[in-house]
Parts: sequence; structure tokens; C-alpha cells
Amino acid sequence: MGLGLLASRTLKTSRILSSQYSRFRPIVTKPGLQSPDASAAAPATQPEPTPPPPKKPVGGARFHFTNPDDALEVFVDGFPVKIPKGMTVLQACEIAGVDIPRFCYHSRLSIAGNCRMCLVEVEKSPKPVASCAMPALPGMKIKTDTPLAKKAREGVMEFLLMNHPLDCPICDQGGECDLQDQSMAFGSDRGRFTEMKRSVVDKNLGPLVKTVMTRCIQCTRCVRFATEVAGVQDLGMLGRGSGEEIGTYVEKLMTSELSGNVIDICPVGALTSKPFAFKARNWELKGTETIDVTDAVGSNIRIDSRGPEVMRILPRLNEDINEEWISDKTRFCYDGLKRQRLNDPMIRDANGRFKAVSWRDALAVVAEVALQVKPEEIVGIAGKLSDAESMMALKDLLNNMGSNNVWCEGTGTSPNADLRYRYLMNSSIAGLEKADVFLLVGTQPRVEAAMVNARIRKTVRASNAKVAYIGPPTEFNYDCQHLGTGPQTLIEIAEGRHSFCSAISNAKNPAIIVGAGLFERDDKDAIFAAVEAIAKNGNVIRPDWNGFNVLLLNAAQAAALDLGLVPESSNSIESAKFLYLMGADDVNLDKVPADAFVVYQGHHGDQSVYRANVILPSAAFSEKEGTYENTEGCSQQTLPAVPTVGDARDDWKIIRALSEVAGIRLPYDTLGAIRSRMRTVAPNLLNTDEIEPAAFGPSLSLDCSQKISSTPFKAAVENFYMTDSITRASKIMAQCSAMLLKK
Amino acid sequence: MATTVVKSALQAIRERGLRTFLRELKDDGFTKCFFDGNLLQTKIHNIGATVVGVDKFGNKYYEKLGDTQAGRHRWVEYAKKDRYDASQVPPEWHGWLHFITDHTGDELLMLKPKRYGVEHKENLSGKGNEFIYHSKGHALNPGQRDWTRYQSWQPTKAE
Repeated sequence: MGLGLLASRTLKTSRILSSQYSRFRPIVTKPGLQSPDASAAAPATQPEPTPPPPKKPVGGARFHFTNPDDALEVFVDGFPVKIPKGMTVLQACEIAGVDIPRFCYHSRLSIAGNCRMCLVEVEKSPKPVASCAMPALPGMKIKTDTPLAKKAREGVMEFLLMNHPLDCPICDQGGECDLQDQSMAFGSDRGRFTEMKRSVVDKNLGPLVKTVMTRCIQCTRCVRFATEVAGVQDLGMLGRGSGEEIGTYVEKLMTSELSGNVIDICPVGALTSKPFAFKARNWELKGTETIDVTDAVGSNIRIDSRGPEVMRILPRLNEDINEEWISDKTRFCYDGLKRQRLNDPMIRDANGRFKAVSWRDALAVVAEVALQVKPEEIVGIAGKLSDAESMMALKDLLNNMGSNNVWCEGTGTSPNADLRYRYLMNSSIAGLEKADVFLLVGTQPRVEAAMVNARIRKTVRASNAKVAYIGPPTEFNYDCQHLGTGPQTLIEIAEGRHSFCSAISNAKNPAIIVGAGLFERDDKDAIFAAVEAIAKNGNVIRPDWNGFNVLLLNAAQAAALDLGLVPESSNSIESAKFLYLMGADDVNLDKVPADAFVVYQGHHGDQSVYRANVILPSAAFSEKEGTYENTEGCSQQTLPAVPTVGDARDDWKIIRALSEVAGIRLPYDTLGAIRSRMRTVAPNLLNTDEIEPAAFGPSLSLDCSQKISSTPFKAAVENFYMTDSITRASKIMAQCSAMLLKK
Repeated sequence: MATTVVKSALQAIRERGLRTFLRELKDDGFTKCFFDGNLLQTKIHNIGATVVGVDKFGNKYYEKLGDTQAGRHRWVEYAKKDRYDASQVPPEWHGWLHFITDHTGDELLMLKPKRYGVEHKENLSGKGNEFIYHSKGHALNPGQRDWTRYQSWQPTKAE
């Protein structure tokens, strides 16, 4: 609302003025200038001028006062704002609802203060001050739209644009570029620079990040991101003055699993996505807010698509899960969605060749075989990427057929699905920040869940938390103590013979993270009993703190265990005559009898498809609506961003159709109906975006009759970049693993 | 005028024989004149006019200056006598025929770009889908672009 409008409203409400102005209406907003006597009368009669409504904080900025005494009051453009102590001037302005232009300042990185774009005028200060680096002091009078501040910004912008190339039409950042936007909003309309522009040699940062270093404005956000968040010392600043450059000191690729995030934080087009380069302009894209399924974290992403094609994947802000970062696998796996797709139902004929058939024929063949075999010989395996709805339908279908041999790959042969806390990250991902000692058992969070690793690193940096791990020697991007490689060390700690015991018992909030790779071991129960003994001795599980965590490996696991996808017998796959694989590609199919009839329902022709007798094409996560539960027990829903390919259908619809052909009709026809069926089994799956904490009974200790074996723990994920059918189909991921992991 | 026509016809019969003469009459479309008044009028018009040029399709371009009405002194006799229309005139002759230029089509043909100039095609609307021009993305274009944005899995590569 403009001031003029406000003034005219005040005039309308004030009766005395309206009688005076009944004959001639004021056009200007300052009535005092028009008639001196009216202005003299106005202050006497008018109540005090209504202040304009306070602006909302920029971008929904949140803050809370930990201690009410720490609040201090500053004035931003004349309006008082209460802020906690220790905030900078820029943050105070944000809370006051004034957006300060900035390039180098990023709320999740340390403060550099080198771009000088955030200059504001502070009363009694001789020069404009860089607001991002200036702590707000009580009673400070900050002015953000004075001629001095404006002139300072214009000057800074002119200097920044001096060496910045004018290639916005061919720049991939064009349209979402901070420099473009801010030069429109705060820059001058002309420059005085007539000399030659500087040019900088491009650096090779690997297969993911494209560099056009001439565009760089030396904000050093990427350098700070690499050292602080990603934990690699790859990027740095070279040279001084106009020769200043960002680069790797020697010719070196950026080997971080979070390297893609520098694309997002770069305010200009210096660091852009290499696979996305020149593929689309960002205003052509349709964004769909959905969930990532390549690991068990469930990072919040936005899929940008153009027509039927996924063009790129960007992170979405979720403070509890991924903050605003995503891993490279999440960001760049999308080209796997366009390769090796199954698009027609196929039947293997007598010669062993696949032939494309209609859905009717394919389902008829499957139903006929399924009804012929004995119920105990029917086995169903859900894949890593399955959504909860389809797993529910699969379980219902197989149960109706009389079999209960249905499970999700990666959970082992006898998973502990009875107690939720034994397969969830109980302290939640955001809660890990409270921990001060970490014990990682048989897990490598850096490759298994990069976002959890980033959270642990954040904790280590912020509070010097101590981290120790048991497992194969690996590289961590924070200080980490290697205790041992196998269960022996675990037993030593459990029995109190290890030196690390004192660290756990002395810690305020100790956290134990157990890798889901241990689910596959035969002595799984014994290992979990040992871990629970450690938890008991170290007082890890308390009413106010639950530090017992299981880090799951894939997106379907938590929901599968919640829905009770547990095999009835551990060796059912050896006696299977009818095997239904719902996207299960990492199952060892060597033990499947040769005469078994294998149905593969999935979206990629990956590993299991070669053993299949019938292929039923289904939708990938970017093409369907489904519920996924992440490792901390927070269920989230995906939304379809692009249409399905070819003749593919949603997973649960295929199973529903098959049930009808087989004559055992499942009682749901819509997603809503299948969700209400899910509510009866696992109601927490329907409370989306909410963590459902596991109920914990301390009396229910694991009675372990198993003998713990001495085999050392194995790495659960061999290759970070290729873990499931989508990433294995991706060319970019293949390049990454070849160049960055040398595999 | 009529006597000159008869005379030249008789002379032609004498020189080439009656059979050849009749065949030429048929090829030139004189037999069609009985059913096609338009063609007959063109033929009558042609008498005494000069042929300015013949394009590569065989269309003849006539001009008659002097006693003809201004604006009707250039015309074309189409090569096809049975199914002719204005789209059969190639672009180089179009300008001359419609008084846009005084350069004949043979002269303008020199300006035609060698590398990317495409051959003229007459409008074949109504002749069936296989004859009609379809743009690049048209569904009936045999050479249309592949719009599938994914690669399907090929079962032949199995094991």
C-alpha cells in the first residue's frame, strides 16, 4: 500500500478534513503544501498518524529468543525491531522485512563480508557498513533506503559488473541469477567502464560442475561451502586484486558427494550444472515438489521437467531432513530416468526371447501360473524404490493367494519389524545436532546417506562432537576415530572393556548409529543385542534423548517394515515356484530354482529382468504418487512430475489388475482407498511430513541365542553413485564413478 | 486471321504428314479445347503472341504487346492440359507473370541460391495425404522427428 493511498484514507476518515475538502479534492499526497491553514488544523484534530503495518520478515525468517533478557531493539528505517543478541545488521533487517541485497552472505555459511553489496547506512557511523558482518547493537538506527546506501550499492554493482561478461542470453543461470536480479533492482542504469574486461581460465571440477570462471564475482560462497559443509579442501582463492580467482590449487576434480550444491549457492553463472548445460532455460520448466528415493533420507526435491522429460532436480528447503542441500546422486540421477526404461509388457517365449504383448495377455499368463503353484511356493520381493501403496497391494495380493513370503530387499531374511525403534533413526536427523558422541557401527554415512553425514559433520564442527566408528577403514570428512573392524570391538565396548566406553558414559547425548547393511548378516540379532547393551550401559536411551539409531539404506525399507513385509521362512526363495519381483534388482537370484516362474514388475531393465519370464512395466518415482518413509520414520509423498513412459502403469494399479484377473479382487480402486487400507496397518504412513517417534519399551530386550561371528563388517554400499536401478542406468552416475571413484 | 491459321495448318500437314500433325495437335491440347473453354481461349489468345520463355515444367509464357488490354498482355499456357492451376508456376516466373518485374524467369533463375534453394512443388491439396506437403513435425510426415524422450530397454541384449 502506497503512502498516498494511506494519506487519502486518513483524509476520508477524518470528518473535519472531509468537510474542508468537499469542494476540491487534493491530488497531491501532502495536503499541507496545498493549503497552509488545513495543515495547521490537521495536527490538532487528527489522532496520531497510524504507522504503516509492520512488514513480514523476508522469506519467512524465523527466530526465537532463547533468553528474553538477550533481546535488543534496533530501528530499521525508523521502525523498532526486537531481535536476539548476536544477530547481524542484515539479519535484523530481514526480520524487519527489508531485503538487503547480498552476494557473499549465505545464512548457512560463515560470514565473509567481501562482496560489499549489503552496505547500509547506520546513524553515527562515518561510512556505510557491510550489514552482513556488522553485529547489531542496542538502539542502532539502520537506514536501508537513504541516498547514501543507494549510492553505495550502485557503486558496488558497477564494480561487480566491470569484469562480468554480458553473456546472460547464453548463460544457464540467466533468469535465476542473483546478479541479474540485483543489478535490475539496485544497480545503476549505466556504467562508466570502457576498458577491456578481464577473462579467467575455466577450471575442470569434474563431470558435474561446469565452470565459466570469467563470470565469477569472487563471493567465495563455493569455497566456504566446500570447506565448511562438504568438508573437502578442494576449492580456494588464488591471487589478489583483479587477478583473484577461484580454483583448485592444482588440477584436481572436486571429489565430494555434495559438490552439486555449489551450483545452487553460486549467485552468478560461474558454477552451473554440466549435465544441464544448454539443455533448457529455467523459465520453460515446470517444478514439481516431491521426494528423493535414491537413499533412505528422503531429501525434499523439486523435479524440474519440460514436457515428458525430467530436466533437472533441485533441493527444497526442509530444515529437519536435508536443510537446503542434496547429494550428487539425488541431483544428477535424473538421466537414469530416461534410459533403459521398460515400456511394454513382455513375455519370454520358448526360445528365451522377450516379446512385447498387451497388458491383457501378460496379466492372463501371470494369473494362470500364479493360480497353479502351491501357496507356500509363491514369493514376493519389493524393491528398494517401492512406495508404501504398492507394497501394501503386493502384500495383500500374496496373502490372498495364501502366501506370506513377501519382503523388501535389503531387510535381510528375518528383520525385526515388531519394534519400530530397532529400524528407525530414533533421534531424528535434525536431532543428531544435539549429540556429542557418535558411535558408527558398520555404517559409512558418507556413502549410505550423504545428508545424514552432512548433519554429523555440522555437529562435529559446531560442538566438537567425538565420532568413532567400527567397520572397514574408510575416509570421513571429519575427525573420526577408528575403533575396529568387526563385532569383537563391539563386544568389547558392550562389556565395558574398551577405552571408548568412558566416552559414551561421560557424554551428555551419545548417539549410536547402526548401519542397515548389518541386516543381511546371519548374526544380526547378536550384533543388535550388543548394541543395545552399549545403549543400556551408556544411558543412550532416556525419556528426553533417544540415541539409538539405525541408518537405513534405501527408501522403501522403513515403510516395508512398518507394513510388516517380513518373510515367513528364511529360505523361501530356494523353494519358490512363482517369484514376484516388484522392482527388486539387488536380490541374489542364483538360488531361484530353474523352473520357477519369475515376474519382474519395474521401470528399468536392470539386473533381475534377465531372469524374468514376464515383464510388467511400471512407473518410476518421478511419475507416480506414492508414500515413502525415510530413515527417521517421517513419511512423505511424491507427486508425479512427468507422464509414465510407453505402456507403463502405476505399481499398485498393476497389482490390483492382476488380482482381478486372478479372481481374487483386492478391495481398492483408488489411491485413497489403498491409503485407507494402509491406515489399518500402519497409520503413521498417512501422517505425512511428520516424524512418528517409535514407542520404546526398555523391558523388551533382545533375547539373543545367536553366536556372534568374527567376520568383520563389510561396506554396505560399494559405489556411492550407483546403488539402484535408476542410478545404474544413469550415464552421469557412470561417469562420476569412473572419474571420481576410479571404478 | 482465320485464313493464316488454316494456311499454316495445311503447310504443317504437307511437311510432316497428317498423322504427325494430328499427334502434335493432341499433345498441344487442341483436342481438349472442345471441352475446356478456358484452354480454347488461351489458344486463341496465343495467336500472334510471342513466347517469352518456357520453364522447366514446360509451361509457356506468352506476351503480346500492342492491341491487348494493359494488364492482360502476359499469360501462361500450362504444360499440363488436363489439370492445371496457378501453383504450377515456379517462383522465378511468378514475378514476370504478375508484372512484379520485367525480368523473365530465365533471368531470375540465376539468382536462385544453389545450396539451399529447394525445387518448386505445385500445390497438391486434395490429391491424397501422400502427395501433400507436411511440415516437419506433422503427424503424417514420414520423416517426422522422434519425440520419445526416453530410451527403452532392448531385450535383444539379454545376457
